[in-house]
Amino acid sequence: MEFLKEFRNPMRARHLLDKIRQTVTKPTVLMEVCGGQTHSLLRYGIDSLLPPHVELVHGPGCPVCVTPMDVLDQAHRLAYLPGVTVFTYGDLLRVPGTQEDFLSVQAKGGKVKMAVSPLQALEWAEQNPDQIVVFLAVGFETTAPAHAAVLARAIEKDILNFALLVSHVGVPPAIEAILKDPDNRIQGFLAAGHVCTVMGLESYYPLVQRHRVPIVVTGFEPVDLLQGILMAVELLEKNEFQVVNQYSRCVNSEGNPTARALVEQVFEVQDQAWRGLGVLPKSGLKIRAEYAHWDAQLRFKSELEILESATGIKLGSVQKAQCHAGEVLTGKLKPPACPHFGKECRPDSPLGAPMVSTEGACAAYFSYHERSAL
Amino acid sequence: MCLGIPGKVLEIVEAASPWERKARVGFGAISQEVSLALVPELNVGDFVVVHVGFVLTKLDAEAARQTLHDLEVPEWNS
Amino acid sequence: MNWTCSFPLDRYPVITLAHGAGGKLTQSLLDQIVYPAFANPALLAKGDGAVLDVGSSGASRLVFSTDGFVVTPRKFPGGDIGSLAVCGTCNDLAVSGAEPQWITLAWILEEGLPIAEWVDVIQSVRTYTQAIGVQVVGGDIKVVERGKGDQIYLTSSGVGSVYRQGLLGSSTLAAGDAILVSGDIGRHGVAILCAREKLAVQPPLQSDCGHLWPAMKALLDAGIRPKVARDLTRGGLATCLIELAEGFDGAFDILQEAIPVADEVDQVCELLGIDPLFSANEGRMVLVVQASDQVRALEILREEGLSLFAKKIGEVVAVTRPEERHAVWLRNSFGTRRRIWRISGEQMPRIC
Repeated sequence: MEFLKEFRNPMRARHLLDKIRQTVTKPTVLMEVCGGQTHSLLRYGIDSLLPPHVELVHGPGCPVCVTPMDVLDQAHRLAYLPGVTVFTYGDLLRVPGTQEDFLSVQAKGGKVKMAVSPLQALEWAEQNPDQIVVFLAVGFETTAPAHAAVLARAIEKDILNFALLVSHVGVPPAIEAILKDPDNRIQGFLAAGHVCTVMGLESYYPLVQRHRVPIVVTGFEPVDLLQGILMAVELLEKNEFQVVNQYSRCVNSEGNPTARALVEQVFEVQDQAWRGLGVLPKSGLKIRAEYAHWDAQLRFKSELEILESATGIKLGSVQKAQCHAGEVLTGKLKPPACPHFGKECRPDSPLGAPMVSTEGACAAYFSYHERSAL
Repeated sequence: MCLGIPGKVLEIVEAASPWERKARVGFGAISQEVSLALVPELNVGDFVVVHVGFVLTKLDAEAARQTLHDLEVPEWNS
Repeated sequence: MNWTCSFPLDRYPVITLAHGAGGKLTQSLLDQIVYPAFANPALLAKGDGAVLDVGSSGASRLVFSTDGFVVTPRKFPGGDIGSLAVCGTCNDLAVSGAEPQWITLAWILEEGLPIAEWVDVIQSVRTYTQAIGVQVVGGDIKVVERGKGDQIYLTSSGVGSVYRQGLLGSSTLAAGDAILVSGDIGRHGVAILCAREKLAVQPPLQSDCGHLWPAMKALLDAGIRPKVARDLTRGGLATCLIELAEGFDGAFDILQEAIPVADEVDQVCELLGIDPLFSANEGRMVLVVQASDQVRALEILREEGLSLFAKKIGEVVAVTRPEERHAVWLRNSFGTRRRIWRISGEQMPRIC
C-alpha cells in the first residue's frame, strides 16, 4: 500500500533512532494521546528501542479506555429494550460495564450489531423500520464528523427510528488536564495526527503558550512516531516550545472546515466525564437540543431510569476498584509498579488494562521487549 | 480513534444528492466505496485517508514524498 | 480515582459467541469442563485428531476426528459449508499423519430450507470428497422447526489410517527445528468477515478452504516425517502456534516478516484494524521438521498446487528461564520481539 509501508521501513527507523540517540542529553518524558499511536508503538516495540533517556508514557488516547462506565451501561441496557437494536464499533464489544459486556448482553437476548461505519447503522435503520437503531457514537475529533454527517442525514431525511448515544471527547482538554496536574512529569506531547486533519493546529497553540511544552502533531507508522519523537527531543534540547507538524502529508494548519461545520451543525460542546480522569470542562460533545429526538439519552430517559430502579444498581456505579489503570493512563504509574502486576493481574487473568487488544499497555509490559541487532 | 488508511481515488461515483456521492478508493489489490460527505472535492488520482467508511482527508503526495526524501539514509545512495 | 477498566471479562454464566471463537474462552470450556469429564490419553494428547491404536498389539493406528460447522453465510467466495466440512475433517486427519479414508455427515436442517439449496451443498461435498478419494460412509438427517436452526448445521466425523509411520510426535521437538507454514495465512477469516458484514471489497476475498492431504502425503512419501503438524483454523496462525508450544517445554521464535500474507488479505486487515495472525484459515497447516529436512520439505510443498507460498517462518528454541517455556515470540525487522498470547474470543474490527 502506497504511503504506508514506506513509513514502516526499518532502515529509516534505525536512522531516526540514531539521530535521537545523538540529540538527547537529558531525561525526557513524552506522551502520546492516541490509541492508534499507542498500538503502533507497542506493536513495533518502539519504546524498547529508544535510548534510556527518552521515556514514553502512553496517554488516555483510546475511546475504549475513556468511555465512561455509565454510557456503556446505558448502551447495554438499551439493547434489552424491545424494538431497539444497538450498533457499536468492534472496539467496544468486549468492554465491561458495571455488570456485563455487549457479548453477554447479546447472549442473553439483547439486540447488538457490530458496525465498521456509522453508515451501516443508518442504512440498517432505513431497511428495518420496526426497530429503533441506537448507534453508540464514541470517539475523538477524528470520528465526530462521520457521526455528525450520519446524524445530519437522519435529520434531513426524517429517519425517526435512529438515535445516537454520544460519548465524544477532545484531545486538547486531556492534555490540559495532564499538564495542570501538580505531579505531572510529561515534558512534551505527540498529538494525534488524524484528529488534526479535522481540527488543524489551532487548539494547540494556547496549550504550548500556557504550559511551555512542545507539541508535535504525529502520524501513526513507526517512522512517523520516531520522527515525531525526534522533533520533540530537538525542541526540548533547545528549550523551545512550539507546535510542530510531523504529519504534513495529512495535516495542514486549518484542518477540515467542511467536517467541522457538520459537527457544529448537530453537536455542541459540553463538559464531559472521562473514565479515569473525571469531568473535564468543554471536553465533549452532545447533540443540540433541537435534535433531541435523535439523542438516545433523552429519548430513552424514562426507560433508563426505570431500568435503574428495577435492578437497584445505579448505572455507572463501580463494583471493584482494584485496577490502577487511571494512574497508568496519565503516566503516574508504570505497569510493572502496579501492586497487582504479574500477580492477580496477568494477560490470561486481567483485572484491567487500558486497552482491549493483544497489545494493551499493561499486557505489553508482559511481553518482555528485547533488543537485538537489526 | 484513529485508524485511517491511505488509498488512491480510482473513481468518483456521482449521485443526484451530495450525500450519496462516493469515491471508489484503491488500496493496492482491493478497493472499496467510501463516502465523500467530509471531503466533497476530490479528483481521480488523489490520495486520501479513509476512516469509518468516509474519506477523512486528502493525502498530499508531494509532502509525503518530501518527508520520505528527507528521511533517506545517506548510505542508500552510495 | 475510583474506576475499573476495560479488559475483556473471562467469566460468563452463559455461552457467548466468543466461546466459539477458538480463543481463551473456548479453551476455558475445554480445560474446565471437557477434559476433566472425559480424561483419557487419546483426548488429552490434544491433537487435531485422536490417534488410536487398534488391535491387540497396536497393529494399526487410526486417527479419528470430528468437527461441527455453523458458518454464516453458508456460501462464501471460495467455498461453502460442505467444502468446509470435508476439508476441515480431512485436514485434521492429514495433519495427524493419516490418510483420510471415511467420513460421516450429520445434518441438522431447518424447516423451510429449499431442498435445491441442500443439494448444492451435497454437490460441494461430492466434489471435495472425490478430490482426494475419501468416502462418505454414513450420516444422519434431522430437521428442526423454523427459527430453531440457521438453515444448515453440519457435523462431520472422519477416520483414516496413519500413513507410513505418520509423524514423529511432539516429544521429539528440539532446538533448531524449522517451523514451516504451507501457504499464505488469514484468508478464510477475512473472506467470511467481508461476506458476513457485507463489506463490499472489490474483488471479493476468497477463502483458502482446501485439502492438506496431498501435501502431507507428498512429504511422507518422500520420507520426510514432520515432528508435529497442525491445521490452522479459527484463531489463526498465532493461536495454533500457542497451542503447539503448550505441548513443549521450549519456545518458538517466529520472524514476522517471514509470515506469508497475500496483499489483498493484508490490505483488508489494515482497513479493519485486524491482525492476520489471528484470522482463520481453512486450508493451511503449520509443521515442524528437523533442520536437515527443511529445504526438501519446502521444495515438496511448493510442488503441490496448494502450497505455492510455503515458507519457513521460524525455529524451535531452547529456553533459559522457566517462565519462557511455551512462549511464542514474534520478532520483527526493527529488532524487537514480543510474546504473543491467546486472545479472549474472536478478533473484532476496530476504529481505534
